[in-house]
Amino acid sequence: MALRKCIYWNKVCPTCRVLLVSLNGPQITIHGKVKNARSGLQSYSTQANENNPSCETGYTVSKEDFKWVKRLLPPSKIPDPPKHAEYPTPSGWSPPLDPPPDLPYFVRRNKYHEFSVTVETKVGGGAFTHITKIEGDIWALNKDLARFLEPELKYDLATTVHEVNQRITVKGKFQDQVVKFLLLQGF
Amino acid sequence: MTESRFLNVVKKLPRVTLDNLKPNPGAVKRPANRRGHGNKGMYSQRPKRTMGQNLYNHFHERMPHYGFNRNEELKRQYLPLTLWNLQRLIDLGRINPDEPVDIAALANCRGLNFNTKDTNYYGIYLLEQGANIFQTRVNIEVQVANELAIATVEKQGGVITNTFFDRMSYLALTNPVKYFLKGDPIQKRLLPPEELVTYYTDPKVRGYLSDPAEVVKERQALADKYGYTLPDITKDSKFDMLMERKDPRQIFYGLSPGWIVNLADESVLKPDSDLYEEWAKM
Repeated sequence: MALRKCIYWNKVCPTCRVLLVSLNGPQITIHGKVKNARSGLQSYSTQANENNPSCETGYTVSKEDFKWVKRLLPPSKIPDPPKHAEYPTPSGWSPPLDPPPDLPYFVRRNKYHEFSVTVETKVGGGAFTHITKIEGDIWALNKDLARFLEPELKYDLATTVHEVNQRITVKGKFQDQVVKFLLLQGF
Repeated sequence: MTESRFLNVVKKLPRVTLDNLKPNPGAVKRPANRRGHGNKGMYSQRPKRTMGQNLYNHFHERMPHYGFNRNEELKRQYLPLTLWNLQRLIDLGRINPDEPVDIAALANCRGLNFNTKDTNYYGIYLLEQGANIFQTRVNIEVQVANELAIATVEKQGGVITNTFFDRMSYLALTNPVKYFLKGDPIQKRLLPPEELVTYYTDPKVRGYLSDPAEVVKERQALADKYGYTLPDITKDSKFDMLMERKDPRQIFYGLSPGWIVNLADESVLKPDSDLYEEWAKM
């Protein structure tokens, strides 16, 4: 009721102005006063410190309810994966071996702790599987990968090796099989 | 009327001038419409197109669309989220299963690329892929869910609710920090439109406006259909978390409409007047 009286006498104090915008009800109509209320938080927060008695509609500052807001704040960086009881996890993820396997090549993971194996699809129905973040002898990896994949196939595997960019491209969709191979190797 | 009044009328009538003159009806013939085919050259000699077509637009551009994807931009769209993808995010520690999962949790972990530019996106569609490997107990809140997806979440002792968010509260959830920095009071969530009321009051799909007593029956009915034993939630250590629900007028957990969040001082400003509670219920 105090708020209504405030409007009736055309004396809208800055704290009430913030409240009016949020109310937005049919019983309250203000002309021109609402537009200035958007920048009301600054005055609202200063009022909170001074505790101005002229404001008839009160408000309380609660630090306890900020725990609900803390849930909604995003983390500043990508979190490290937690330790599980057994590997692989239900979704088929497992951490890299420590120490790394004794092989002439190495495949790094990306910032999301996954292998950067992607599938590029073409309009005509063709597809290519790209493997990046390879280090060391890329030709040895190409040979081992073909040895792993070819028994399931009825044809020879078609791969291209890019030495400068350290990238292997396989013709066809082999994302699941390639990830399975890299996990078996222990990267 | 007297004669003088007649004369006054005649004086005021418009005179015959060049402005008023025009040819007799039928004296002048209008030229035929060229329909975009000019006066000279090849195009003027060509046959004219039929109704609805012209020289410049081809007929398939001119004619209306038909088929399954008609008016795709006007329809409500939902982002697909598979159970496999959700399990992977939990395995990597990007989603905390000890807290309820909603749009804000998925947006903060960058699990989904939420589309904020197109105006027809309204939330998440939970899909059944990965139902065979899903093993986590979660309290998840989505907009649309598959039947098998509902069954797999409940088989593990979890809870699922289908809720509606209007466009503005959806945008608030996709980036809560940006929303709080505006400095405005938290707005209230709108109720679903008329087409979706039947969906969200249905206990079979665990709608948030349905009767909770009937949801308990439907949970058991779905368990009988798929042949699994329903775990008892009341004895669970996570019971308090699993029973957390939002009010139909609430956007965020715990924060009611009308409050203002002050991120600098880490405090929440709550109004004392009773008008707010009345307004929030309206």
